[in-house]
Amino acid sequence: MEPNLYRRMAFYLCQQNRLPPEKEYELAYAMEVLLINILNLLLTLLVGFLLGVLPGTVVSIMVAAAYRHTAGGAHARSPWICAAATMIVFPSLAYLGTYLAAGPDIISRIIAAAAALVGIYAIYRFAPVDSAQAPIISPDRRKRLKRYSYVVIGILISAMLILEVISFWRLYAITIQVCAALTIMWVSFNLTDTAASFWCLLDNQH
Amino acid sequence: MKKIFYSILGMAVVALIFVANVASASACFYGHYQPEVPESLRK
Repeated sequence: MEPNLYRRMAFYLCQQNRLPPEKEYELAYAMEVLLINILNLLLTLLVGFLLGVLPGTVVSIMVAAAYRHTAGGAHARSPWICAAATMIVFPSLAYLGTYLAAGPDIISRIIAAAAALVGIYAIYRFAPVDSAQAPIISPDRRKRLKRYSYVVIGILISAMLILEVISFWRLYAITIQVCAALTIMWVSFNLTDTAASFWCLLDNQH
Repeated sequence: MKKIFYSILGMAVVALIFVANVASASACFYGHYQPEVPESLRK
């Protein structure tokens, strides 16, 4: 949707509620964030459903949302590139995770252990990663986001460990574990400079 | 009827301001696209 449309809707809301003019930008920003993310989410879930990997896709989205919320990461400049990439990446991770989970236990253990190490290292080295559109100005906020990123990765690693010891519904538990591990690796990659170049390359193809 | 409409608009504004603050407080709001954060919300 056009940015002007958000602005017009925000302007109308501001007028009706007699809000100060600066609130118009905040409302337009919230509408853009909400609509783009809801659209992305629905399309990604639809692709996951069509590929038969809806549970894995849901896990991947939840892990990515939690991890990126505090650690940030590279972004596309275009919402359409973002939508296309999200629709491809998360169902693909779920598909790969479902496939690998059906293999020997040692594979899922290696992937989970690698994801834990990669995640901790990526946070230590890069997090939080901001963008020109949403810069992190305050050093305190930067420190706080880094601390929260460690908490989030700690929770995710704990969840993977718990899934490792679950004996009932073993295949489902391992599928969730591998999908979560692969998503941690993807989001960790997004914290690097290489990922920023990768997204820039995708933007330039548009 | 008009009263209900205006109260819904008011609730929408409160919800949107909440979303704007949550989104600007986080490093990223899940997706791979980041809209421009308004100056008033930059921290």
